[in-house]
Amino acid sequence: MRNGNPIFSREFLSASRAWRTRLIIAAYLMILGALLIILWPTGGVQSVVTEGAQKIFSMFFSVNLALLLLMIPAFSAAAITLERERGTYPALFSTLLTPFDIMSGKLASAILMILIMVILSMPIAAICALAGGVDVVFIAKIMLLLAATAVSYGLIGLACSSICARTGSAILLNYVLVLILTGATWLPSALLSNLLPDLNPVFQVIRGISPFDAILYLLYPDSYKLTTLVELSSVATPYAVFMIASCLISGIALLIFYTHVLHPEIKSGKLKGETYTDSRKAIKRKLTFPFYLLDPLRRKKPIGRFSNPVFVAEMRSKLFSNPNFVIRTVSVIFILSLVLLTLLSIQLGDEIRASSVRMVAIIFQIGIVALLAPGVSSGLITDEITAGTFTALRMTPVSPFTIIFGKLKATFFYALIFLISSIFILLAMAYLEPTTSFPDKSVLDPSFFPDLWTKIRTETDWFSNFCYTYRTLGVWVVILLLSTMTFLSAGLLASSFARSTPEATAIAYGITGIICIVTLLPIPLEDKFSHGLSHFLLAFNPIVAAMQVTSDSFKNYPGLWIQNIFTLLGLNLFFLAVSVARVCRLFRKQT
Amino acid sequence: MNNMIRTEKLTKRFGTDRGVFEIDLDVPKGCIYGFVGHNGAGKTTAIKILCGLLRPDSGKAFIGEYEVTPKNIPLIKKAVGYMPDITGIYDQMSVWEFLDFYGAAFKIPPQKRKERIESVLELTNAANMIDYQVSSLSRGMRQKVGLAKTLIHDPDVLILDEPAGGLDPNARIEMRRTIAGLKGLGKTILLSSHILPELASVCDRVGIINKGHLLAQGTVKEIGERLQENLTILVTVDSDINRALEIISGLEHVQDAAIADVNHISLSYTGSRELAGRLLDSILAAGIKVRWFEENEANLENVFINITSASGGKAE
Repeated sequence: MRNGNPIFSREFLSASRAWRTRLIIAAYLMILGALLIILWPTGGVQSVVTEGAQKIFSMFFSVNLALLLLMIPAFSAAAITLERERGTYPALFSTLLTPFDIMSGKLASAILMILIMVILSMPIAAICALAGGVDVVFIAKIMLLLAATAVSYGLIGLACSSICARTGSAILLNYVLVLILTGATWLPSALLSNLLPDLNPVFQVIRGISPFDAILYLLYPDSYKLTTLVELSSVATPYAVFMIASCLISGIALLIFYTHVLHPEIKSGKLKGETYTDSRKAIKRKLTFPFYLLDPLRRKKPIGRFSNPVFVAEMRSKLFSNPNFVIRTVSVIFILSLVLLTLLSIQLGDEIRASSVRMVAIIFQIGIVALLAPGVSSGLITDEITAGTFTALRMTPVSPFTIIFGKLKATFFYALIFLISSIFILLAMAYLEPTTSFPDKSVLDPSFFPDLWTKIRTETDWFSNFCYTYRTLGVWVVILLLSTMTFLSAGLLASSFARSTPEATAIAYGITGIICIVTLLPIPLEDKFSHGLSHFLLAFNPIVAAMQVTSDSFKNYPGLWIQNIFTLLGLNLFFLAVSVARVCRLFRKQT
Repeated sequence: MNNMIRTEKLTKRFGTDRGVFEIDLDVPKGCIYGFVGHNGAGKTTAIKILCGLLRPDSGKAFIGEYEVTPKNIPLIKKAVGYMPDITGIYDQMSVWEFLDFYGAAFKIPPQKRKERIESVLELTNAANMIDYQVSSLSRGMRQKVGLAKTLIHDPDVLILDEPAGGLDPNARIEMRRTIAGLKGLGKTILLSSHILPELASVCDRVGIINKGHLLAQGTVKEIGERLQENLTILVTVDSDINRALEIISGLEHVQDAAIADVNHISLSYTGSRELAGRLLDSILAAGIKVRWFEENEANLENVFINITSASGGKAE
């Protein structure tokens, strides 16, 4: 400590002393331990040829990897932004420490904490070896993969932290990058292999960037080969690709971190609230999109007598204050949904069916909601407390109910804008639904509408057919909206208990991860869970429910989608009730 | 009962030696009351109890005729405008939107709100900031907007915790003027600070708190007189200063006479204030030419230092 890097000592000591770190590590090890207990065979003879041992390995390490990826942003993404928010960043640079000392101290403490987690999981991982079927080299290879993931994704977190001005944005950006680098790497090979067959080796390499791809290859090499479109011998193995990609990603992240940490001030554009004395500039500002629509100087209508003031204030401060962000994000989602549909139709050609679009729609739209909603609502209460506006709110006659519902309503509108921007996917679904209710011709055909009118008049059960055709679409929209509400209220719940917004964001994403991913466990572990327990867990998952209602999947679990609707409603009510109770307590707190 | 703010044996403990202990505040209606104390003396604790944000362990607090109890909190919120030491402001709004929000939160009808916003911005000399984005405001501007927010529902009592904290001298002078202007509107103002000259120039009464105990309260003069056993007198002479000192030192009731400056002599007079006039006669009778003869009045800084250093944190 005396001769070491003071930044490292401070960061590492404070992180290791924090109860939050202990709680995260305890939860991480307990989840892994519990998983091992569930997976462990209860009878029979285990040998190197049993599939059970491999199943234990695949599940254990996949979950281990998923948990690591979920936790890394909590440790690394706030490293620099928190210093900026506290105003301690310039003070650091005014000491005798060199920028390299600051950078290496931050880097080492964040990475070491994540590596410690990997090391702590080793004893549990070693127990897996007792099931047989694997050698020490194999375990070492997987542990090396986990360590490489920890380092490269930790560095990505630090790079995000150095780019962003606020912790919330850094965490959100980090999760988006984690999702892209681990989940979206298969998209080029899935969507473009027919269009650009010559590039299949490249798509295979892109697939290999994901650590999950490398784990799948290590555990099931034969099954993995079946999913590839090229001979693996023609390109490097996915494990090697991942290791090389990790080094490259780490290098890029390090470079970004280094470049930005050397510049303490984030250079912002035009100063907000700037006043123009020049009338030409003023007119230009008035007419510049999007200010023409959203200029705060135009919004002079007082909040209505019966309006919820918190709702209006949230809309003004979140939605209208940052139109550039909203417009850019909406445009990206808009373009992405169009590109996704185009690629899907190119890939599937004449075989494109409503079911394919449904699958894409479900994953894409739930993905958008799961990615944005928790981040949008996780600062609702913590931001008020840290900004010092909560005391001012307590001194007004506004009730905690008004605050919670006003804030939630505003964030729901906010999330809804992003959902509406993926409308093309819904329109495509509506178009591809069975056409029995409509004449078998294009809507552009002049005789389409006369024929439709004839059909309506002659077919007695036309209306019931029509309703049945679009029931699935309606149910999907209901599930989507309920999922949005659930993720938002999870963020609110986290925000009302956490001490800071980064903490709340991590908790909110954790809850969302449990709802979307952990509840899928009964699928790979069907033989380990009873049917009732599997049914119960799957009923929480909106993706499963949407797939059941829109296709014939999950027949073993009848009525899953109805139960999902009620489960999501129940979760919503529970999250809201607890949040209201907590905010009421904070409001009336007199100690 | 003419006191707008009153406490009776108000106690709130944090551990064994932190908090406030049996303090009895009396703030008359229309008065500016300065609450003086070191950092951590208990000012903010007492203020939070008065606003209903903290519950006392024992004792009572009153705002006007209402006791500060959970039942009366809605009435307290209407009667009190509280400006905390760190003014929380929503960054992503214009000043107008910010005040409109608080106006709506206090249920001011929309048609009256516009007028009210303009009036509070006028009162706080911030009318030119109405269209500014809050995030672009300087510290001083934020304090003004924070004060405007505190005034939006026209409260009778203003409780301002360190309103001039972190402001530059000009902004402080302006804040002082604004506060003095608010007194003219009939508001009762309790303001805490540890910048004593600032309080002395604006406050009618002060309360000195140290380690949770209210050591003294009243006007600065009253407290000073209560503290001082002897009068401190300053004599400016036009004669030979050494000869004058020799003569003055020999006079009745005079102690510790000393040359304070080139032609100033400072002395401690043990006689009563009524007899002090005779001292001047004696000096003149001795043939000393006197240009100026005055009693050195107590200033808040001296009073505060004397009280807090003399008492080990115990009340008078």
